[in-house]
Amino acid sequence: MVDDKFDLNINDQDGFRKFIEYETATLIISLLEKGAIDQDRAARLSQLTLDLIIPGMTLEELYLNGVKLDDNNSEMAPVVYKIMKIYEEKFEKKALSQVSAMVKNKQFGQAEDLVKKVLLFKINN
Amino acid sequence: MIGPGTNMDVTSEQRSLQNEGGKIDVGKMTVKVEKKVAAPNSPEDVAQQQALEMQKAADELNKKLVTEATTALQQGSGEARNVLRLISGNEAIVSNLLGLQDAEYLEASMIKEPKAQQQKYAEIQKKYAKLIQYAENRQNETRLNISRLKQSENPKDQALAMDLENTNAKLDLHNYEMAIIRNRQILDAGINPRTGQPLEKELRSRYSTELAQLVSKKIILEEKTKNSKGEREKMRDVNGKPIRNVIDDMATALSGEKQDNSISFLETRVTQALTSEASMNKFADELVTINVLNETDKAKFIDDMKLGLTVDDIKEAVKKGGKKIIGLMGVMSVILAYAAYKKSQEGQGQSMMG
Repeated sequence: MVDDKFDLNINDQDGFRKFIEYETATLIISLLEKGAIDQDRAARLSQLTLDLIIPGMTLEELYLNGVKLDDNNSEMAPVVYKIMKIYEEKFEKKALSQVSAMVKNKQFGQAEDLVKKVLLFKINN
Repeated sequence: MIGPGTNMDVTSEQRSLQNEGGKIDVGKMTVKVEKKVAAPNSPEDVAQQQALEMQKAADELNKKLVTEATTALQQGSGEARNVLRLISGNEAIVSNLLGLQDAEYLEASMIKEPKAQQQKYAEIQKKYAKLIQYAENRQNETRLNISRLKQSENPKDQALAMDLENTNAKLDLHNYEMAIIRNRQILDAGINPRTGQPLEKELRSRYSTELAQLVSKKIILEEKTKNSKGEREKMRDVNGKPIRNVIDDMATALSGEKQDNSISFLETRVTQALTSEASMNKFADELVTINVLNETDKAKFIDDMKLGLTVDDIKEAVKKGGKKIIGLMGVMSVILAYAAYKKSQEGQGQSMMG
């Protein structure tokens, strides 16, 4: 499981947010430690997470913003993978249903971006 | 050794200059000079030595940050957001609040009686911890509501999100500028702003690191703002007409005429409003009238606008720091948070004046 440190449940949006923040912080520290990124890059990735993952967001909003973390930032792909995995497994949400909802709301651009990621995730699992 | 400070000090300041130029990378410089074989004491030799020192200090800073971040993560399980803040550097508003805090500490350092002085220090610490928390909560609310507006496919909602984001960015850029000037002044003067005594090595290192982070964050924000300005100008409503700027609309609606500098006008209005409970009520009523604030949110809005301070505290702050201090305290982000909230509730992106 990817969430050993977090006792997540379906009603726990705050727990999901903290899970994403923890995973992101751990990844950034590890990349810094290995010298894979410098301080400026680490600061940018941290700020991006603070901008996208905001206290008060619903589970769906956290998921939709969480999967944007690796847009143009391939270092963040492991976190996005974990977000998708836990969203499917733990919250019993079907990521594709988010895509359907977006299409119904005529959010075609966002739906297209999301569907690519969801399909890639499903192919790899 | 270059200059009067330690290796780390020099590097941090140089790193910030590099960030400003946005061209030179510490790591790349090292690789480049390592390939050259310079004659002893030649300019190349000196440059190589300097580059090695810079790389060494950058590595030291990395190690320090990794250690601090790891410790913070282990200590505060579930509070990784604080670790992300530590790595990214302070928010613009927080940097300025820390500056105000330093000024109050300096005043308290003049108190001769040790017990009274300690008590004052504790009061200041408590007050600013609360202020910073308020400011961060407002930032989060604004970001959350902007994020919700962005989800809409209605161009008016997206334009509103962009206007709010750009106004926030303008305020942040101003805050960063102020914090950068302050940090440079501290490092140049070599004086501890809290005690008036010579700056200790540890603190010099802290201010240098902060300076580098502030410069870097300012550059990132400037790039982002530049890109979004072009996008905003191209935006049109469903009838193909340009979409009005919500902040300009707010300033026009409040004053009855078009303002050249809407943000400055709003800051002045907010400063006036904060001088008494009656003025605050009047201001809140006006915001309800122009459709920026829900009637039911008025009491909470006034409470948030005061950032947990009393009217006397605010008057004192304005007396010490001038009216600009109000902007620096983050009051404008309160208005933005409420404006974004109201509009995200309305859903279909009506204009400010209905």
